[in-house]
Amino acid sequence: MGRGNWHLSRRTFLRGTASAIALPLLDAMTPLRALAAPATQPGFAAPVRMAFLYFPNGAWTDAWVPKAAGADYELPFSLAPLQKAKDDITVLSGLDKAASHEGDGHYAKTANFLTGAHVNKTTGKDISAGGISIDQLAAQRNGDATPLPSLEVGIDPVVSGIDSNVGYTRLYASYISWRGPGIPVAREIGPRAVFDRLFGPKDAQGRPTTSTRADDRSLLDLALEDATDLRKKLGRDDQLKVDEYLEAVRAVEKRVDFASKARNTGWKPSTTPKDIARPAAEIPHDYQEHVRLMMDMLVLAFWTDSTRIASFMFANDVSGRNFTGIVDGVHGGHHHISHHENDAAKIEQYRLINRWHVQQFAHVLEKMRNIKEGEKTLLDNSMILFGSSMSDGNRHDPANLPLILAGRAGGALNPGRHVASPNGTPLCNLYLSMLNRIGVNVPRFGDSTGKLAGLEA
Amino acid sequence: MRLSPSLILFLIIASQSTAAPTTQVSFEGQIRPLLGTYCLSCHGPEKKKGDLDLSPFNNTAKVLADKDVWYDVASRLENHDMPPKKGKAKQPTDQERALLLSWIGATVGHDQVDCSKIATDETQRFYRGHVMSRRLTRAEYNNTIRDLIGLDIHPGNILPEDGAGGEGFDTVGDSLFISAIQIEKYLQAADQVLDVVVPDGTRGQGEMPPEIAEARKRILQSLPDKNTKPSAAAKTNLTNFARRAFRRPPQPTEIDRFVTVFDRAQERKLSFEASLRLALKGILISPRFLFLVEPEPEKEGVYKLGDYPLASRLSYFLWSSMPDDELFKLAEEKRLTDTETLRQQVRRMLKDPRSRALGENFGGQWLAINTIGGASRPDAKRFPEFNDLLAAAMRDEATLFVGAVLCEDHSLLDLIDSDYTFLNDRLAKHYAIPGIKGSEMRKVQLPESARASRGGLLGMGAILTSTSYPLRTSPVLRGKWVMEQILGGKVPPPPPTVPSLSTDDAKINGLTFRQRLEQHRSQPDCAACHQKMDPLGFGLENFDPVGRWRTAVAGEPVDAHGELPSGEKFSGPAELRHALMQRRQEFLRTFCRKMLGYALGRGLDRFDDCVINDCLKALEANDDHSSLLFEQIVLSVPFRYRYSKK
Repeated sequence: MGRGNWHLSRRTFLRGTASAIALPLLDAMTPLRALAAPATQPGFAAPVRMAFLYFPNGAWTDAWVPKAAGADYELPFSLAPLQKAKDDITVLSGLDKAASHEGDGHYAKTANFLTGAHVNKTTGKDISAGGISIDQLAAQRNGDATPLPSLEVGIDPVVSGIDSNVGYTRLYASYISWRGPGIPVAREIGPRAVFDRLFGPKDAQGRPTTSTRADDRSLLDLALEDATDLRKKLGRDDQLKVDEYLEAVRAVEKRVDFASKARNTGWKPSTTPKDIARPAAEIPHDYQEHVRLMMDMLVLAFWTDSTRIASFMFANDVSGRNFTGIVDGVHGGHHHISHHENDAAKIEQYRLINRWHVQQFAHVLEKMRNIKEGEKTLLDNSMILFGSSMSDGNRHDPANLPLILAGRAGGALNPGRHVASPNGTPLCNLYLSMLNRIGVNVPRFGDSTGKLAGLEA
Repeated sequence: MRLSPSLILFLIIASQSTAAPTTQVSFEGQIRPLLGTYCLSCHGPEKKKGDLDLSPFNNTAKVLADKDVWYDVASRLENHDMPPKKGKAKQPTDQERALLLSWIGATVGHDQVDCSKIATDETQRFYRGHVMSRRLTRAEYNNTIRDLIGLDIHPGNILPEDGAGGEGFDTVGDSLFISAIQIEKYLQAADQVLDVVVPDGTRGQGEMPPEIAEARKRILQSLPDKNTKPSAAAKTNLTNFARRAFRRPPQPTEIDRFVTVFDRAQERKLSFEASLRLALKGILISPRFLFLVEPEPEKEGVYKLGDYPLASRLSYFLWSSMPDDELFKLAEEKRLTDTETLRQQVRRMLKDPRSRALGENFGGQWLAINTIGGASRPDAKRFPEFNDLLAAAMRDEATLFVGAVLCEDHSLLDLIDSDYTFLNDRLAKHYAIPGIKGSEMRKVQLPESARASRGGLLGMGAILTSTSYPLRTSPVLRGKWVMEQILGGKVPPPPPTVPSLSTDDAKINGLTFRQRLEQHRSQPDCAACHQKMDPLGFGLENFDPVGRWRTAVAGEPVDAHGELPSGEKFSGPAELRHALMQRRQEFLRTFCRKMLGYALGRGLDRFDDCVINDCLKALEANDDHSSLLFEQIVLSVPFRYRYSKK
């Protein structure tokens, strides 16, 4: 064999510039739907899936919240791209996280988007989002049914540094999924990395490397033994980190085991990994392309029943992404524009950026609606919550959060309405309802005071 | 000494002409009434919120008798944690807050920590609650694999990026987490490494690149033959490998685990190399490799770090990588904890090219330039010359420069002002500096013609671009950057209702962008902070949003003059650098603080100020040469000692 096989990559500061732009995967493969057999065995319903799509820097409420409540409402400016999906969505207003009313800036609002609890003000010691996030709780309770208990994806790498301006570590703006109060869940930002996580790693030639699974399993066992021994030698604070390691190793073991187990959930997805093309190795430079590919991965994960729980971040909070050229009429960085300072021209750009995010959401819904699962669609069988943690980025206002819930949770929800809750209704009431819909019957979540009224028929 | 409040006090006092001089303030006259108005409703005898009752403090003597309480009060006030913004608590004005802080500072004093007690149980207990046996960062993982295997293949690039904590660095154990994704990636990364050195199947040995042959030889030191059973050969190789991977001699029982992996693979009829490969993979995912293990003794109290953990602290601080053979040897001979040896090792290690990691990791994070060319990059239409290659050159300039100052024992003040930098052709053209050819970055003596603009960090594209918006400069962000990263000041968040500024720098209603900003900051709510920040940024207005020199903005001549609240005036970057040189003490203190936070991997506490003061003294006596800083930190108590509490 030639020298080329001794692959010895050199340090590169930047991603290659000549990357081919991959076609949005699901568009390219839509014909496959026709080949797929009807999925459900008699007596088994398709599972309910749940995803959380987070966009940063809040929304301009006047262009977001419909004027009328109930079924007869008009979509305001920023929600206009959802016209086709109007019957599948529930626009939510009046929801709030009481715990986010203290603490300056974004961090006390982002990190607890899915926990609803208090974010500890710290630059490092005792990092805490106050509790487990809704997605992780659902994954812990229900995750055994799928190869991955949950999927966490995003676009931006985690940011280093602390914000001494407000006294928080910047990593709070990079995570919405928390395995426990003090443990954020790492996420993938590359489409291929997600694909490989879903369908198994491949070697340099693209062949699956599943043959090593049994070996990995015994090595992971060894690592557990090793870590348990090591733990005894350490001090209390250090032990907590080894516990994190132990827990992560066990999670990977479970996954490896899952692959070797016969599945008997009664549910057969309408597509299988071998039908699906693997995305290019390069992360697209084009933001919209990157976002669409990551959302495709998420839809794929649900479609193939690789997981039923997911979270996605369009960007880290406080993102200064330059939207010039991404959205017509916008000139400047997202965070800067979100501090519109009540200037009409900036507000216009702010709501345009909001609308762009809504547009991406509409694309996902479209794709999910086109995937048939028996008599229903993937969207029918899902709950997709799309939103942000501030109603006005300029004031960092955490009240009246911009939120849209899409899907029917298999028929339990009755979308097509604007559910206007009284101001100050806990966001966690929505989460409690969602948890119950996915079969996690906890009496309360975060600061919930009961289930959210008006979601069901 | 409690650092940040004092510095804030300085800044606040310097800017608050309305705050009365501290000498005329009395506790009974001014301070206690303020406490009554803003604090006692919660921190009084009835509620005692947070177990704090301030009502018994009715004279200065009582305040002096319980200084710790007042340090805490000052810190809460300073950070705007108190009074709480939520609920009905009344908020003091900025002047009142400054008055309280200046009185506490002047009365309780700043030099409260008895540094002679720094190594006692009482003081070391301060550090409890911090994770010290932390996992390797992504950068450290790559470097460690490089030095362990001898090949620079960066398998850790597939790992997720790390966040930061403490003083703003990823070396902080509290902010390093492990999820399932990391474990999956560690398995994949181990395969990437082993695919190169111990590949599956057969490959043409003759064509093997020499560096790979070398790496193989190091791992396969013992091969089975007539006299050596495969298991024995494997044990030798695994022991040698684990010793370096775990950064200390492994216990026989630890090795037995991996030998068992080898034996089981042999039973399955795998080849010697394939079997060994499995065991090596086990070592590469072991927590003893992935964590910087610092075992704690059973007895509670202060203890001196052992030779091996100290070797790792040293190497990960100065090299972001594992110890080398010399450090291992000294550790084995139990000589490393010796002060003179440590001093020599610091000198030696700084001369080693691996110490350039300080520029890359410490520098990149301190300067907050790692996201350059990322999502908030300059607008492509407006600045077509800004591309990934230029972004990389800018970042390299800054990190190479910091690396050079730190490793070549230059004066730390070079960071503020210097007559050299690092350039390649592309960046030199961007800066209009002639005569630089080729894409390699190299050290360049700045021509006299460039000295008005370049020299020192403030003239570097990476910093100037990172602190600009996509379409215009931001004197506010640049000023804030100088305040925070160079002078160690803290800027509280802006009030929620502030008037508007455009995203572009075009003239509006006949006013230049600068004039509009001046107007904006004349509002009383904004003035207190912006008076301190903006002038520093104005001094850099000759640099456009991508760091090029300019003499006009939107058709008007650049106005680069600034005046600080102290009355100090300057115009343009050269005079700004001069002004910052006058604030040498503030800069050096900030720099020492950052470096100590990076070295220790945790947020700093009161007793750490003792180390910072020692660093400053040593710098003062040695013309600010950087090696003194490293020496002081490595020889300090917090670096060499730990507190045990199981």
